[in-house]
Amino acid sequence: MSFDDLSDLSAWMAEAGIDELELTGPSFRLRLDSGGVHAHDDLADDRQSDTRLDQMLSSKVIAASTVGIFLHRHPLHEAALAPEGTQVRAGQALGLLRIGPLLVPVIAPLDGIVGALLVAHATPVGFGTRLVELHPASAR
Amino acid sequence: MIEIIATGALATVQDHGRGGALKWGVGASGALDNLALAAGNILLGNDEHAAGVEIQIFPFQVRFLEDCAFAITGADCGASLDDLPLPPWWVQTASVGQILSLGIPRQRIWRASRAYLCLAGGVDVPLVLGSRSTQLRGTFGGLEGRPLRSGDRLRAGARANGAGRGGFGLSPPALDLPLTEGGLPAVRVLPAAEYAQYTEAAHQALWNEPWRVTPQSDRYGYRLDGAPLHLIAPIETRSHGIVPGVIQVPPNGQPIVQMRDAQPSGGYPKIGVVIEADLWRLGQAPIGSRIRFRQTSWDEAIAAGELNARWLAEARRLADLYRGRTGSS
Amino acid sequence: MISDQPRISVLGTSALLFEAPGETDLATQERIWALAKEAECWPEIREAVPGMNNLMLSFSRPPACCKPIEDRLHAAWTAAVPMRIEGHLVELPVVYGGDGGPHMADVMAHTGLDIDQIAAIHSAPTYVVYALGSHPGYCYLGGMDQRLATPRRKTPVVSIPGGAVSIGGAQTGVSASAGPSGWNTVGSTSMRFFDPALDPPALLRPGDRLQFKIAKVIR
Repeated sequence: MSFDDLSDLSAWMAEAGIDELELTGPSFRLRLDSGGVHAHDDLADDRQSDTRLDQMLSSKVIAASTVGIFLHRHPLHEAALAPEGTQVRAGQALGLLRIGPLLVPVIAPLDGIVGALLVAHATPVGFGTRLVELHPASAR
Repeated sequence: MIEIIATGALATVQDHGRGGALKWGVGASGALDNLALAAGNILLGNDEHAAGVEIQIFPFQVRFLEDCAFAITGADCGASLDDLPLPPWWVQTASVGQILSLGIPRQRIWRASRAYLCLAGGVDVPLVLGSRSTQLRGTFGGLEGRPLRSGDRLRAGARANGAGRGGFGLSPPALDLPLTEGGLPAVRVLPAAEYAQYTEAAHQALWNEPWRVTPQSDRYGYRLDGAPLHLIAPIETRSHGIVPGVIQVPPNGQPIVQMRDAQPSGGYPKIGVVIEADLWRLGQAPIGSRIRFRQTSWDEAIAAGELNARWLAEARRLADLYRGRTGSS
Repeated sequence: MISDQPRISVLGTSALLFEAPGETDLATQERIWALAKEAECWPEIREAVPGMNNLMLSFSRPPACCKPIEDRLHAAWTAAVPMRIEGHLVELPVVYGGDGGPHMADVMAHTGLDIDQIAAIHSAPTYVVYALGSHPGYCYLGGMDQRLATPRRKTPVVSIPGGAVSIGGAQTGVSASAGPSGWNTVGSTSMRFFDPALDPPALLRPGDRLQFKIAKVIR
């Protein structure tokens, strides 16, 4: 894991509404919170975090971080932000969630290729609704 | 701080206008699309009265001379920050050295012509007679009382608490609060003092015919082209106070809608007044486009203003919530 | 339009316009000043702006219904006593005709007077500043000789320079800065009428008096 991954992780955390994430390896423990990054050389462990990291890195489905209306395209645009097959970078918007007049991006947590859009344009969705498949780019 | 690196004519600093100086002959000025300016400020967590840059000729480019959150609203100008494309009506953070570019408005879904650039903390130019709006006629307010040119630098004001979070947007009120008549963008009009002195044909034309925005339209007034509006008999009115939205009809019969830089007084007969709540719609109508007038009542006009205020309040509430949830940095 | 009753109309939802009955004269204008002074204290009014024998009241926020304000206006007008203002007298040299008076020919054609007569008649009275408007520092003047009255132009001029002395209908005035105008420009002068850094920013205010002096007539 490189420091580039950290920004991916923090983007993902913001998207998922997670305030804090702890990662533990054989010789390190890393704690991320929305206020910044803290590295510890403390070996005290939490094996669950490895599991969460693996899940996240291999994740192929981006879920709704909030209740809203899922939009494939911006209301002023005719083209979808990221139709199936689009190569996207981490942090790029895959779609939008509309809450009243507010538009919140559905963000790619990793570099990858957009798979199926699982929900039709302009569909109301609940928290956690699976929205977009993302095939992660091959490991660095 | 930002530096203008490319601008066409008549990009100006505007806020919500200068109130209380009419008695010295000073018109209100202020953003032609006041909802778009307010929305940009809301995205940033700014006071709604903070000043921004109104842009009407493209391309337009600025370089950020320090890290700064900004918002772009109004016409969809295919904005990009360096090579990152930005959605319209969006707030974003820029790093020192980055360049924001706005291109010619894309008008397929919404025919709009003016864009607004807001900065976290607001564009900091001196308050003159209670406002930061550029008074072009009086050459004061804004930046030295004139339109912006390449090389100009604008400072951002003190940052509001919790501001500086980017990466979300608002849906334009043109889509949330649509108003059309016969397939054309419409604005609501209250009849004015001399309305009854116009011919029946003039009344019919006013409400039922399209009006083309001529190239002689600007921040002072929109000169419209359509069926000539004639009085039953000529009248000379005495000069009196007027407001943006007044539809004056000079003797040639072609109406002029007074806009934000309008004179605070006039003497041409008035057939009607575009209501304050709909002036932003007209302010976005591009030259060459056609619009319609729709007759309205006092109560409807008040309700329209309240609807705008509700849209802004809801945008403010949700933007503040979202900023609070995702950002504490 | 001249009747014996004042007329009140709305300017969209932004303002009310009160128009006094009768011919334009100073006594009526002095009652307008008095009415303005009273109305600007009403809570729903942001600003009371005198015009030529009329008064615009801009709203701080539009009222649910205008009737109560209209009733109050009628009552206040009935009770209004002319407000005498002892203002300054300012002398202003004018160059009549030439490049600075591009519409002199139109005024000559309409009035049937020659340029010397127009200059003489125009500079004879002491004008009273009735109101400010149009653009920063611009004064509406009362007292023009009606032999000079010339209708506003059919199509407004896109820009006239600052200092332009012009006639529109039964009125005359001096532009304080360059800008569009529907009036007929007959001469030019140089005077700074407005400085936003001063308090008040306008050189002249209602009740002040203006005396034009013929500096030159360019035939």
